[in-house]
Amino acid sequence: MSRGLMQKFSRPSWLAGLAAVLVLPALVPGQYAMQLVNLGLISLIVVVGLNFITGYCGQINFAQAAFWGIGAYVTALLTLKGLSFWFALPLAAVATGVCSLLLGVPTLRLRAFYLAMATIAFGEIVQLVLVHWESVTGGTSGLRNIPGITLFGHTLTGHREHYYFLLAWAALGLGLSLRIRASQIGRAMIALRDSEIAAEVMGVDTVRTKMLAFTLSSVYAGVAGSLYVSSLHYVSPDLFSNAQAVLFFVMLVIGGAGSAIGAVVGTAVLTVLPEALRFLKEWYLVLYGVGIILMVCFLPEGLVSLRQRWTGRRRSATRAAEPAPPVDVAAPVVTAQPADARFLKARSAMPGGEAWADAGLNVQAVTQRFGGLVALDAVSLRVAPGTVHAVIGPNGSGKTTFLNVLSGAYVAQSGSVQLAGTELIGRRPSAIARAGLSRTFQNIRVYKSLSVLENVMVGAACHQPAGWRGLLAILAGTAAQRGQEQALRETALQALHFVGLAALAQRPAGSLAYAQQRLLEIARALATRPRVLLLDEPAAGMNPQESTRLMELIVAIRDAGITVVFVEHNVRLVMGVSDTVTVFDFGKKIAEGTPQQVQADEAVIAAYLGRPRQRPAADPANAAGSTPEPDHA
Amino acid sequence: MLQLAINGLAMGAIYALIALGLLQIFNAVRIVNFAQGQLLMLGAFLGVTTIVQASLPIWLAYLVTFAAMALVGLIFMLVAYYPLRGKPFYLAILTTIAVGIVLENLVLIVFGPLPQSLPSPFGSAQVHLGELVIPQHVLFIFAATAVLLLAQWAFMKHTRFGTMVRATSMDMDMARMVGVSVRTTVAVAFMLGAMLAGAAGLLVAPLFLADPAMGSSLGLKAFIVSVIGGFGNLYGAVLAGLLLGLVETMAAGYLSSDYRDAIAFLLFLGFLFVRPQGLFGEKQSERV
Repeated sequence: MSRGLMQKFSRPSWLAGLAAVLVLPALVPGQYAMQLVNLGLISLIVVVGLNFITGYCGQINFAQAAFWGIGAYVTALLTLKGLSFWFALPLAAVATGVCSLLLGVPTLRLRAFYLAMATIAFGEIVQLVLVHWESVTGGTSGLRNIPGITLFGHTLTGHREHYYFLLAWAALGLGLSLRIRASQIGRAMIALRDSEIAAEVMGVDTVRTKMLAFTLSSVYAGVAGSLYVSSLHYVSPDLFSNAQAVLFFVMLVIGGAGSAIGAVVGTAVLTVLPEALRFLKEWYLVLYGVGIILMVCFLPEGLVSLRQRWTGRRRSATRAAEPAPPVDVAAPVVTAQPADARFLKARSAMPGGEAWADAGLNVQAVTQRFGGLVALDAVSLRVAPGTVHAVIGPNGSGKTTFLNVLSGAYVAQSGSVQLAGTELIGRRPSAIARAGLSRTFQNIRVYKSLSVLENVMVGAACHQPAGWRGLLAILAGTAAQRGQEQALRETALQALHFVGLAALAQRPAGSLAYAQQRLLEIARALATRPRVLLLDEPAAGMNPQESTRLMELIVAIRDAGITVVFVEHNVRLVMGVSDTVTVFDFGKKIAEGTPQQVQADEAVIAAYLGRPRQRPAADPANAAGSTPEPDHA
Repeated sequence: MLQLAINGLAMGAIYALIALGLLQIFNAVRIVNFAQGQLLMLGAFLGVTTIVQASLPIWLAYLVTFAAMALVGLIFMLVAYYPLRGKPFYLAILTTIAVGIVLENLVLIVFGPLPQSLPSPFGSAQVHLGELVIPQHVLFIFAATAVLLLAQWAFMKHTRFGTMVRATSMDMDMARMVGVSVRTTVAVAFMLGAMLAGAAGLLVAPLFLADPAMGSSLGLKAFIVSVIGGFGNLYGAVLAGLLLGLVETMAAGYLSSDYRDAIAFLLFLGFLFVRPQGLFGEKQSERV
């Protein structure tokens, strides 16, 4: 486990919590309450699992109860046949994992609400099968006399013994979930929740990452089901309903989606509450519904956010007394020293070795339509390797669309884009990122809930995307995996150092100033080791001082052998750093050349300022639309 | 056989109506309302209150029900959607579920768990066509579905308000900037969605009784129909509704009624696998 976690566990409050958990059975009055506590531990495992797909990835999953039921029934049937719990449990986990693949593969590539509907339908099917397939499941009366758990020759008996056994499993589930959160896969999950497209262009295969999360969720639920039947010796279908699935979901959201502590708090509250409010009888469910609405509206980040609010207030009160740490927006933002650019030149670290540098782009007759609107009309251009190439034009001329086609956010209807001989059109953005093309966004898309360092680490992992094997290595905590994590951190720190944000590495990315977020996007893109870097209006919102530093950065990036293509309105920046300038108007390339050539070009002047009156406009639509572009220079 | 088909189509028309209400809301705010079935159930019980308990004339009872449903839609929007716009979408979906839970349990407390009967405006009159016996209420369902579909289409495509709803669904901020009152637009969409659910409730209860628990299964059918029709497509939803009603009734008649609902869900999962864009939807590209 990470060092941060160890430090957390050594705090007195944590030790007190640990002690409380260990002596809990002595304090709980009666068998019924103890059974409730055990059920809470089992629910906790389901909810911690749900946190992967809902908390980290932001997807809705209402199949947790069904997966819990599948795990329970598979275990019950196997152990009734005489198989030991210790063999039935992994088989139950595999069974739920396979079900999650069947359900996830078709739905996870669709719009987000499809998973919600598909999982609800799956829950209904599972419920129907459990009730009606009587010869196997025992129908509504369920299965009885399910064998228990034998541990080192001792068969567990009584709620108290089961409590410690279940506690160990819950702790294991929590520990592994924290380990995943701190890994490359955890960062990818949160990145795609914060911005799916920004995750893709950093090389995150968002569909596969969601699939990993969904499978993890269902396997947690399957294991919980296995534990449930083996400790209660009885199973019936009514528990595995969609209402239960909603309850698991509510536990997570009320506690705090995306937080392990939130999962614990939410599960505890909603395990105890129905019992404590038993006197409300049929009004309980009304109150439950109203409570959900109130909690979601007034505390959307869950009960854990109360604690953060409280400590945040306390912290800001103490901070007021001492001087604020110097976070000067202007001064340390860009310090492009030659030494820092060394990391960009470390070719050996790149997938293609030396040949990785000096790649250009060859764009042939790219056409992109949106309904009837032709945003790019047979655009062809060449970007020479190792140059800075500016794309300019009035608003709506297709510049950003062009970058979106290059990076794979849009798939052009026709044409070809080649990066050092590799065709890019038709590939997913993550594949294009691995081919060596990275970008920043005009409307900033940093991963707000990750730290600055974690943002850049997502980019750094571009060429080593974690799949199933990576997941197993992370769960096992292998030395190789830890070494890789360390390497990602170093690459990310170097990239941050290069753009001058190293001092802010631990800050939440959402807390940075606007210009700093732009630089963070550049660092994140550089960490992918691009051959071609696309910058979409990098100077927007920067003051003259900051844009001057940005110019120095762009030159340093080019000098390191990375080809830069950028869209910009700031004339000083365009003229100051570009080797070549291409001008777009109404989706067409109207001029190209050195900055000086373009500045003197009549078509360009006409596009920006309108045509002189005496000359009749060739194209009335063109003349009407070409209002002067207000420049930010 | 033909008799079975007509029953199936009647059920299908109901599915189509629920889906129309669901899509009315979805097309405005891009949120799938998980309480659509419970809104329908509420409409059915408002019918029980006004027609059976208050013995109002049927036209007045229908009017009162629609007015009440519009009010419910407005409150629904103000409580469960409006505070959450711009927040992670699962929060709004969770609140729609919570509204469903509240409605279902309130009705359960007020009316008790026993199903209640609701008369049709046509009583139990029937039309005889050769050997076929068609209840007039079934013909009423077909007519009402057709009229409501046409009305909804005309409203969305040919009124200023419909344009504002569509603009809001595409880009809420931009719509606001060009002078669309987003709050009013969204409120009207929720009110219409709830009224459509109410209409479906009034139509379905004479066939199957009004049952507090009827909402969840009918609400799920609305999803299924919407997906098969191509999410957001009104005609697609109506055709898919008729199709689902037909397939379900046939399968229940000839195969097994235990798995009647399972057939609908399997059809749904099958579509997700093979043709996620549905019968008439645009191709669902991977959202990047």
